[in-house]
Amino acid sequence: MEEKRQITAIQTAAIIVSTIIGVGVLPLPLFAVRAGDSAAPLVTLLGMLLAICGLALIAWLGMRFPNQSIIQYSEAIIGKIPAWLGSLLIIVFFAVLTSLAAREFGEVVVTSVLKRTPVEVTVIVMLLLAAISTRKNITTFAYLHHFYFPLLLFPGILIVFLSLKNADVINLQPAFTTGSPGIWAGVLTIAALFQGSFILTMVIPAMRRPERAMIASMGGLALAGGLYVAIVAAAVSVFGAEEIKKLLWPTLELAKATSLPANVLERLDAAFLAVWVTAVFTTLLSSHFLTVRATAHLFRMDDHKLFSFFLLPVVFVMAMLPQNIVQMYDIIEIVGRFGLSITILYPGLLLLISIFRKKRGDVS
Amino acid sequence: MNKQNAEAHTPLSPSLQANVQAIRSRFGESSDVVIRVFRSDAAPGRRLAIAYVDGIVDAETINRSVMEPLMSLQLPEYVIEKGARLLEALRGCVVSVGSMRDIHTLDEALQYMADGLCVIMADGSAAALTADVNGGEERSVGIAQTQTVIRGPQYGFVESLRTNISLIRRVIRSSSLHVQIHKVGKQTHTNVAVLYVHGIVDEGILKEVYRRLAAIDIDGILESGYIEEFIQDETFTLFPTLLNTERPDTVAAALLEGRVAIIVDGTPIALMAPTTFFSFFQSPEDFYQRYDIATFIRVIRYVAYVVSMLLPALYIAVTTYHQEMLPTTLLISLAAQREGIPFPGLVEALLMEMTFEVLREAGLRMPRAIGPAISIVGALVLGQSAVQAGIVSAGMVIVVSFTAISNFVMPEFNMAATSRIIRFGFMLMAGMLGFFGIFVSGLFMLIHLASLRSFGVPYMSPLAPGGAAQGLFRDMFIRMPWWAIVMRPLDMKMRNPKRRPNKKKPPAQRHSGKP
Repeated sequence: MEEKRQITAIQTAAIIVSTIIGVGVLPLPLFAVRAGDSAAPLVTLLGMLLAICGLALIAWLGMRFPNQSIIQYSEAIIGKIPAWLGSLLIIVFFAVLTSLAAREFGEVVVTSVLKRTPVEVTVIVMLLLAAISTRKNITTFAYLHHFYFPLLLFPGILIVFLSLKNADVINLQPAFTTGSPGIWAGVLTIAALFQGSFILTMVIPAMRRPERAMIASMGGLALAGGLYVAIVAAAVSVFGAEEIKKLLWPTLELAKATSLPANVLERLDAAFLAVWVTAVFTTLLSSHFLTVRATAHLFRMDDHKLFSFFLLPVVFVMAMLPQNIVQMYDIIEIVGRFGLSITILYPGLLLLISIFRKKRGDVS
Repeated sequence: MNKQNAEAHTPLSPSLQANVQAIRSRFGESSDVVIRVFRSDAAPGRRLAIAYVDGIVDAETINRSVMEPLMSLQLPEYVIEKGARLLEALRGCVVSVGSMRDIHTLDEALQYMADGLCVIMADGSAAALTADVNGGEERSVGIAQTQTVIRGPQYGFVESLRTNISLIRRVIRSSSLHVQIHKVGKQTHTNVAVLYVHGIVDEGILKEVYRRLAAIDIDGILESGYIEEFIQDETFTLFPTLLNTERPDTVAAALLEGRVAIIVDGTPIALMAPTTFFSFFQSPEDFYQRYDIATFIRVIRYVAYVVSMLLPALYIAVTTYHQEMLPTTLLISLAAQREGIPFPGLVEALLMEMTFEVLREAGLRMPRAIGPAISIVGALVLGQSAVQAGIVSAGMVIVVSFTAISNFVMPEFNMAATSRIIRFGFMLMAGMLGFFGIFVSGLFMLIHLASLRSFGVPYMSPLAPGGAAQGLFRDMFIRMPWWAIVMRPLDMKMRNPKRRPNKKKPPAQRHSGKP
């Protein structure tokens, strides 16, 4: 009774949002403040705009080829061997992204909550969870995202609102500093946090009405981006730019600083761990799903189940490669910016060529 | 296989003697098989016989409606000559039983006898008649024992399939209530009835139910649990994918929602499919009580379910890893209680949970007379003394008791059982990884739930797919007033998705006080 194209536009938007909101939220204000001091919200906004451009390219391409993923239509556009190389890059990149996200979250858990647990345990637990759930089909994948979507969004908004108690608007001024030379690098770093939205290329072939992919993805990205800007603004207004530079995970500190009225629970950071676990899980789910599915498409297989555990050891080993948190964040920044060329430039190139060569997928 | 087929087609012999012999020997000379050979005045020279199994037929009906007319037989001359005509005449004008059937093979005769029918044979005729004289001892319709309600019909199903179907017929008095009976089980030949309301049920689901029932190959079906395990979508899950109930009104409600009901002879528990996770949280009473209190109680049920699944795990996680979450005064009093406790939180919790599970099972299996002893042992010895002896903390006793009580809030026993098992998994994960472990296992559980299907219907619908907003109003958390429930609840293609024409409150008569 399973229909092939079942994913609705709202589900697509939910997938985009819950994929983007991930462990990257935690250091986000730090990245933004490093680049633009008190103009951090502006930097975030610019990063989001760049990400929107990238996603628009992917949605456009996807609507030209509504029955295929990027792995499949790239062959039609630029020929087998160059497309094969491009696809391989995509697979490797998202495998690395999965491993880094898992490692980053592992470090967060080990540093803030489970201080005596080895980081390997938390990483392998998260990866296993992602691997198990990527064995399901894409409809279930969409259900999962849709299901967790409110669980991610509302606590995120809650943090922002609860922190308003300690906020001071003066910290947000001046809002338009342009003097800092690192601002464009910061924009790139933040745009890189949105790269999970590349999953759209796998979702479009399963959408009930692929022509709504553009509006769904834009809506999803705007929602996630709006939350990002709000969190950065809240963090900066609570802590001030100089303070944030000394915090590794300002968003986590923001959650710690909040408390429920009536003093039912004294500290909420362990409770907010629930939100992070969910957020990171959905991100890992998407990026691992993308890796696995792309690999399956590359080898022209219908079933991607085989690869979800097959690729797991590779991802795990990659996650364990960085020596410490500092090195890990260096790698994350480099990989993220490099990734933009895969998630924005490459689709852009494909789109241009497909327009010039007048290639289109069949719209049956 | 071939031999069986050949046997199944053994024809009845024209000789009455041979038939009687065959029946006796095939039943292994069982002493409860009654075969009465007799002569009737009206048909001299031709002997008649009736055969039945004692105890599963109604002796009164046999005497009054079969034996008496046969003995006082007055038949025209021409009938007596030809065997077949004799039986025809018997059926047409003599035997006064509601349902009769012609049979031609020995095996049919044996099967009908085993089913509680009476077989009528005549000398010189290679056929026989069956008369439906079903009867025998059975429990009368009484109060539903396992699912009690305060407001609403009180009666429950009994073991007899016939009675059970009639109970539903009395609720849905319509020709569109269809009943199909299948025989399942090579030895037990159990009657399994499939009920649905034509025009509401989805044909695809109905076909799927038939297909899965037909695929069952087993020697015996003793309870609907057998059927459930054969036809459920997924064996390796802790979550039930078929609803069961012993209440006719629940079955009727499910039928009106477009579900298919399966009733098995010999058990008061009926099955309903497809089902969703959230329908296990609906008690029949929800729909009889006022909607406001029903909604409140339903929310309480969800909370209780989560509590019964998670509370010990949360307690372990907080006391072992996340002490900083508790308000300071509470933390101090908890720490003071735990001061003399030799075991870590996990061991303490496992100890108490296992104790409770043992007590619960003991209470169930114990002869009624020893019942009070259990409560004394449970409440005093294991609760109070264990705390005083410093083996477990008082906080843990409270947690375990509240968990146990919460588990009884669930209207469906099989869903409540799920949380009893999963609880231990959560506790272990909480003991190892604290909140992180709990959330990860929670995620794992939800992933599993989201991938389950019940006869093709997503288990988590209407929440996924559909989203929270839809779920809120489609009978998940909120029981809307009846006039506002327009659509049937299942998220599936149905020929007739609406229960009511529109969402309009019927106008109330406003009395001004004057006539």
